[in-house]
Amino acid sequence: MVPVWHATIKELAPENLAVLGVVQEQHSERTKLYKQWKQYDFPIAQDSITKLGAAVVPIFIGIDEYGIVQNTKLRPNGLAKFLKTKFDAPETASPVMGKETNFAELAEEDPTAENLCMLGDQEMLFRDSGMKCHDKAIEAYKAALEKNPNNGTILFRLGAAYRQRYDEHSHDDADFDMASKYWTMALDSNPGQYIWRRRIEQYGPRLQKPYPFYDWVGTAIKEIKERGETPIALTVDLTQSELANRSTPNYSNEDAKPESTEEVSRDGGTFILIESTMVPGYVEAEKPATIHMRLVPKGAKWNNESTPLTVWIESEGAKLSKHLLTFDNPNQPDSKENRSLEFDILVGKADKCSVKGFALYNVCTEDGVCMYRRQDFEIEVPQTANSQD
Amino acid sequence: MIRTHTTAPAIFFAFAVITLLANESRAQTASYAPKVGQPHVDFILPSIDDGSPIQLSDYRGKKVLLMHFASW
Repeated sequence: MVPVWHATIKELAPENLAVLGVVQEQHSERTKLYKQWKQYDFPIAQDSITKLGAAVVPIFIGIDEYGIVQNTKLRPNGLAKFLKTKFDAPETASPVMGKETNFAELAEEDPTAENLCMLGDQEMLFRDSGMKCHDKAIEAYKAALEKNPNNGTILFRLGAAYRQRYDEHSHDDADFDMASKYWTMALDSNPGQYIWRRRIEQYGPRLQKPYPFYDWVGTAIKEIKERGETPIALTVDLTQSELANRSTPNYSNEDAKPESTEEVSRDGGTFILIESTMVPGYVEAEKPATIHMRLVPKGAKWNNESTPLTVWIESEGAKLSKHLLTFDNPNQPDSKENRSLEFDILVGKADKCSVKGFALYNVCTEDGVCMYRRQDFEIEVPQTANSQD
Repeated sequence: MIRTHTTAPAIFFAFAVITLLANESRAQTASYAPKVGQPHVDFILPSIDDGSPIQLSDYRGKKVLLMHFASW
């Protein structure tokens, strides 16, 4: 719909119209890439925390010269009429938001849930505390939750703060875990909030339809390059779950289990640390979830000149979209990146459920000793809110 | 054992749109629901280009097409 609007605006070229976009997006550079691709020339504001409270998108609103809403479902074929219509000035001017509010002072003087939440919002949106903005936002939202523990808005924004800290600098799975946890709680509080649902789906299974999320990225980059431009770089890589080709998991897969691995020497986590996060934060019977595994080099580097990282997973109480996961070796002899793998899980009616498996990898220590190791693991799968700790 | 974290159910209580008047603040407790004939709530959000503040009321004097969308 936005491209249609853009074409209409270009055609009419109205002088008395300002166009403003508000995008629901965690990663501003993804919208910047989209804007570059579509050659949008209007400003776009980022609402990464549903600050305005929008529960759906898209929404197209016509606002008159006085700040009064005149149309909440404006359509491109109605733009010309909207532009021609003369609206009367209201008796009193519409309220204007103060620009210089000190939210930290406000929250200190009157620490209500609302004021604490606004402090968190300010840190999230405008990064008043720089690199510590996520820490400050998390602190403020947690304090707000103490005042109002069941508030879905605060729960969602707290999750957003954890995820943004994870993406931008911590890269700590505990932050991803917390994001998943609070987003799930937020969605539980208001299952009809589409934006929150999409945030869960972004990192989890496609619950209803095989929506694409960022399938357009590859086409955008290609077409921007063909125009002779340099595409906006994405600072946070797309995860597998953000692409539609993962939308139809095959729970009847017949992956072959790696053979003769029992004798492989074990790594108990000395060289590689294995972490996991599930989205949503718990599963219910017959409802899918996505498990994100992360393998983090600790005392070693990946050896990319031998067989690639392989992970085998199985479960007695659940169906898995894959049993065999692999990670292609990068084009350098060794590397120290964290490696992410994902799979979907569909739990039956078992009381307890876990995913067991092992990872096989080649690593080299800093002093050049290279080895092939197996690490066994078990991922506990929390089922429903009642089964939690 | 690698443990995934769990969550608790929560009861919905929405509060969302923030309106800050000249010298005081009020946190409204409603979802986004602009109504014809009513002022659109003013807001300040960061630009995707450089993070600079974009304020709706800065566009007073012009008609505004406000488009809420997503890039996913």
